[in-house]
Amino acid sequence: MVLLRSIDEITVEVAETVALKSNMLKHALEESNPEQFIPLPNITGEVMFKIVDYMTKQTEFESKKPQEIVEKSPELEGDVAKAKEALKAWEQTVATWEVAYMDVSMNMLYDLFLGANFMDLQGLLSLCAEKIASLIKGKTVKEIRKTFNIVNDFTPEEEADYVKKYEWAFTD
Amino acid sequence: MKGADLINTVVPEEVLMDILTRVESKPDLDSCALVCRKWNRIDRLTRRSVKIAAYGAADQLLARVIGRFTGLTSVIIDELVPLSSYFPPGLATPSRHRRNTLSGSRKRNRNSPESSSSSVEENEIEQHSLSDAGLSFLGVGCKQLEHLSLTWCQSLTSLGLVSIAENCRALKSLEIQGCYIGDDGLIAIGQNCKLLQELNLKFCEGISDKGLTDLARNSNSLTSLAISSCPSITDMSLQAVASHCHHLAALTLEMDSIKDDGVISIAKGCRSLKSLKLQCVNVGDLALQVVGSFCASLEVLALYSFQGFTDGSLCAISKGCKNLRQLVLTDCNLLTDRSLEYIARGCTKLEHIEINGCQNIESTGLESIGRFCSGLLKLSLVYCSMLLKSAFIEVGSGCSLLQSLHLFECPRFDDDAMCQIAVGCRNLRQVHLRRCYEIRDKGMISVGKNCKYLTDLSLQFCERVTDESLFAIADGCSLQHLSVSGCHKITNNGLAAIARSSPDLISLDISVLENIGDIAMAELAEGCPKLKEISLSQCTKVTDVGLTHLVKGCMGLETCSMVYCPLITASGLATVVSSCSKIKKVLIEEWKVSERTRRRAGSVLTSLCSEL
Repeated sequence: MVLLRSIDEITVEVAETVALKSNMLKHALEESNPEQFIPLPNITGEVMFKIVDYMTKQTEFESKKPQEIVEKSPELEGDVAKAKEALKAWEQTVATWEVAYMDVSMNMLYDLFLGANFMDLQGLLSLCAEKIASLIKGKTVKEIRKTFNIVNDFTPEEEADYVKKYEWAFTD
Repeated sequence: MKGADLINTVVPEEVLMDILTRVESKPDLDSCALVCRKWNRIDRLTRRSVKIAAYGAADQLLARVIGRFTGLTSVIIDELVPLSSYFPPGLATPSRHRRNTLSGSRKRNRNSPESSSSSVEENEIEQHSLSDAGLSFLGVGCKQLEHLSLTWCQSLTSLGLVSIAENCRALKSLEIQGCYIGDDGLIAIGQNCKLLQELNLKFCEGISDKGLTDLARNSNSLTSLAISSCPSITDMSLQAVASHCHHLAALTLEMDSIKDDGVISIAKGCRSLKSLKLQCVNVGDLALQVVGSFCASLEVLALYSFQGFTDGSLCAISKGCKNLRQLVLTDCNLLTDRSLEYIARGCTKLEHIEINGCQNIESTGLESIGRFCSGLLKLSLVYCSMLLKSAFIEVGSGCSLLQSLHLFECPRFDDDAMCQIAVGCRNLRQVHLRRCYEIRDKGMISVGKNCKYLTDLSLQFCERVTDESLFAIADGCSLQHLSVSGCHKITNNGLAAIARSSPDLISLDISVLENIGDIAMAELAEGCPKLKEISLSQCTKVTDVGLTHLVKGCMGLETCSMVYCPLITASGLATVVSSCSKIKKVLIEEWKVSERTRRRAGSVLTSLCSEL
């Protein structure tokens, strides 16, 4: 078991197999004394629990992943089709869980993002990046600024100039 | 209520770059570039692909674009793209004018507005079109270029391509269509771009065997080759490819000058061949028999207008190409059911079968498919008027994984056959029937009951279908795409049922329906907020009021066709254009466009069809 401690001194215990999902923890475990806890200086307790939740669930999903049959003979045709179906169903389950997991506030989203970046959790990083990208897609410039509280630091002339110059280049 | 701008202060820049690369669509990236200076700068670095319609000072435009986007890996220059909305329709384009004076029966698939009087001088054409100097500038500015596509760039010669070759050594994919580039350009590419994987040559009069054989000799990494209408390329080039490009996986040929020998040498030399698409009148049985003997890895085979082969060649394919997954046969009039029987028994991994216009296919072929190809996912039968309904019974019982069914002009396909398929193929996601006059409601009711995954339904001109069908479909399925064009018996009630049950509806075609009116528009507004495309052409009862209803709910509308609607006026058009901020294309009679709408729509619409 591995002990993790958040910046607000909350500890949580995770199984080693789960902890190894994070590259940062993997390296830390290789080096430090197994008795002690691993500090997570950038992460609060709430975020830490959410991240551990992700790692635990991912480990669980991995263990339940249906085997793909690499067919060796025509008799196995039916089994191959069934295995494909099972794999699709599994992927669907994972995707559904991920959507529910990522249904969080903007603040939590940023925290998760930074936490995943710090702990080097590629899967969670991708999920967060996709989520933010999805918040950008389909929006106008003003809407994007509003969503992310961004201040427009262009002068009106600069903005108009850019639109005029490059509209040519972007016919579809 | 002010919150903090966390994304620019807290999120590291390389992470922000990652996010912006996931925003793939061009309009979204353009928006990102205007959000603030930081995003503008990151967009500069991360934008990888650019598509340029090079009309008007093309060289300068390209230079500006390269100067801004320093990380470009993919550049597409297309001088065939219609005028952008900057100019009112009817203005002549120099390049198109010049093209129209060229001889030859070249296929032109784009819908470009007709040019009226085009009194542009030859030297003005040179100035506007991309020149060798401009292309050279691209080469120097984007040394990491991986993909380049040049379409109808009339002023380019080999010089420009040589410059690209010498500068962009990482080039992976090259596409040249309708340019006068010659052999020297291709030779330079072969000598310098050792990573080249894809080559696509279309309407290249200036390229002959000399250029292509030299390139083949130098390009061991070539995996995909497509040649179309290049009259100076013959079997000799294919022989060179066969000798040197052993990794070739995909070959597409649309050439009269290719004969059996060329295809035979490819079959013997390129054992990794996975995809073969041929539209060559001078290739026949002999070539296909060799393909059958040697290309065991073949997965995709498409044969167009084959008059020179018989059932024998498909027999050979079925014996040797056991990995075949996709088979497309178009206008192969000598084919009979025997071909399909061979294929069905030999290629049991088939997932996708498409047969267009093979008049001699009746039943036993399709029955065999049903019996042996249990993995079939997509079946498309177009203009096979001799098909009997008994054939579909086997498909229903054998192809339980079927996801997509297309039947065009199968007059004998009736409700019983549809029921058989619906009951047996519960995985159906897409059903497209066109002019299947024997289909009434019983078949569709069965589909509604059994095919819960259906999202795409098209019943064009299946004139006997009534509202009952739509009620049943609405009960069982939530659609994303629907067409009932020409199904005269459909009324507002049927559409209302669909509108209430399909909140994810994206595209709807209700053209040529006389009984649809404004009530249906209101129902759609209420039930289908995600609607993007709608066709109302020839819906004689829909009025401006209906349009007002529609746009209240369907604010994401992008495409709207409404020609031959006598009760729709300029006012209705103005409503659509002003209410739908994402509108891209409206099809309507020219005389219904008011001056105000034209001024306003000019910056929004990309095409206003006029001549009707």
